[in-house]
Amino acid sequence: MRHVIIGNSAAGTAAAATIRATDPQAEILLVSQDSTFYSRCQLHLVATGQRNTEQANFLPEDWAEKHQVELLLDCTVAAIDPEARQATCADGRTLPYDRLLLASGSRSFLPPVEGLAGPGTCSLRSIEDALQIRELYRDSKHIVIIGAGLVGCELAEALVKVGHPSVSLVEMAPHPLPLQLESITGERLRQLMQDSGVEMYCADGLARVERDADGKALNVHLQSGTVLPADLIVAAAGVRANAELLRDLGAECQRGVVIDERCQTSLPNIYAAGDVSECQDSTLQRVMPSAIWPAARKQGRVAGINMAGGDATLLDHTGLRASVSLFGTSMVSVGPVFNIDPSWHKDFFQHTDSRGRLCTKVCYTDERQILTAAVLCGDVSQAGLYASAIIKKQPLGDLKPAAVPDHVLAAAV
Amino acid sequence: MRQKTIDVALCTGCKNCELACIVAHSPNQDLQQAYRQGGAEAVRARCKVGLTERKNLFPQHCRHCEDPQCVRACMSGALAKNADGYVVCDTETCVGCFMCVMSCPYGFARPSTSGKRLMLKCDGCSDKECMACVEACPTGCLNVSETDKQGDVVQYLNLPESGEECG
Repeated sequence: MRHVIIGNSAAGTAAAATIRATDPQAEILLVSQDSTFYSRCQLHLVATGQRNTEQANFLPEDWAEKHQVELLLDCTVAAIDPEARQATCADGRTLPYDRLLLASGSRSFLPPVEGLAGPGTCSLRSIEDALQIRELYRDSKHIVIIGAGLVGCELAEALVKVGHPSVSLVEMAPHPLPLQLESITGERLRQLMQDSGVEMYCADGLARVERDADGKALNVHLQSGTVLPADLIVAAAGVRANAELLRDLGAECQRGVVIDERCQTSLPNIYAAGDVSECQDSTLQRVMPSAIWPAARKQGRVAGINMAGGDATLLDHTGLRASVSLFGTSMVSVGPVFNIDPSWHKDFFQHTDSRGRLCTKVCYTDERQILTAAVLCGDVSQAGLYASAIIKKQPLGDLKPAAVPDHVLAAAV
Repeated sequence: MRQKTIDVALCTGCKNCELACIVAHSPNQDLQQAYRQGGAEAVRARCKVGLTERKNLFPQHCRHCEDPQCVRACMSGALAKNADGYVVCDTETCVGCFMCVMSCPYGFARPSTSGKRLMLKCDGCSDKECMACVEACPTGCLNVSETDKQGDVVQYLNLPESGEECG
């Protein structure tokens, strides 16, 4: 059996290793546009010089050799022919397959704003983006980041940490991390980031970017009328799935390629995993992207098992989990915090722990007392128990008091 | 394979395992120094004696799961199973994203309290001759044995009644 995997990040490499573990005889070819393996979650550290590109590699050096995976890096797949079961590369090479996995990820999205595209505007999605920011940030006087999602917030923190004096963050929502945090913790994070040296412009959007005659960025104009000087602009306002290869073939797609619980697309012998895909989310009960590392790994493994002839399904799959630490405060968010059902009950607990940290827990429960979403700030050491309760649809029960008792929910898991 | 067995029925809640764990992972293997010099911030045992809802003692130890969710969630490559089957963290590689913390269903991947952004978990004392917690256990609750059997490297015996009490 010959497997072709497009993409060498979380999902693609998980699939390759799983296929090898399932079928020692399989032929595995991993094709990628990238020239190296790197963890996208570490790009803010690379962009600020806190880690180099080698350190961002998440695989052991002998990974491909050990798993007998043939690599075709720096290579773009231009077309897929499901009838002939072969992929064609941009350089004309053809790659026959028995099973194909599309794990091509997503690309950053540049909002259609006047003057935004141009020199001095970057995104942060690939190692090249990170190296470009690393080149530019030292000589830039004012950095403006568009979008206070995970990428924007982590980059802002990293830039302040390496001593950049002027970092501004613009966000449409009233507080940073609008998908992960509810209003109370969101406002606290906004205050924390402001106090820590990031100029926060929330509930505001980008109107236009003013450039000089040479095209160099001068100012960012916000919808509120505020004008921010900027010579480096980082767009972190969302991503678009690299789904064209299959969309053009008529595969069922929403924003990404829709996959079933076996990670199979609507096309025969073609699977998809990671950011390029969308699947049923177990907490929201609808088909949506699950754009986090652990979810991509899981999809990659499930796809790999099925491609190699095994049988696996995405059980209790959700991408609505996030962990982030900003300016000394750790936060974990689980469940559809951005889409709270009006019938859910909201509980807010807080206490100051033995180390003087203000720890908060926001828990949402439905009418049957089942924990449906939670946001933990400060002390996240029990976050896995909350996540497990939400995913397994268990009651809040013993997790309810401000200080989590020693009781082990795990015994029931 | 070095297998750790935990006989829950024999636990008296003396917490010697917790102290031994702190000492074993302190710079000088000295309890007083670990507390005095490291301060409370550096002290965090990797195991813990807890109570179930019915107030039964329950020694909580990392299971070093066969399908470890912490390793599955690790985006830096720091967490991996070692040759003995124990899940260990390479602290040089860990960036402290805490996705492992979010993913461990037992709550045994935790943030380090040392001030560094690192995760902290039981390493099975893989680099030591014996397991500190097992050495220190005076009741025979914790045991270690060599076995040829495949399977879980940590095994629980006499688990307290779960079911309804755990919700």
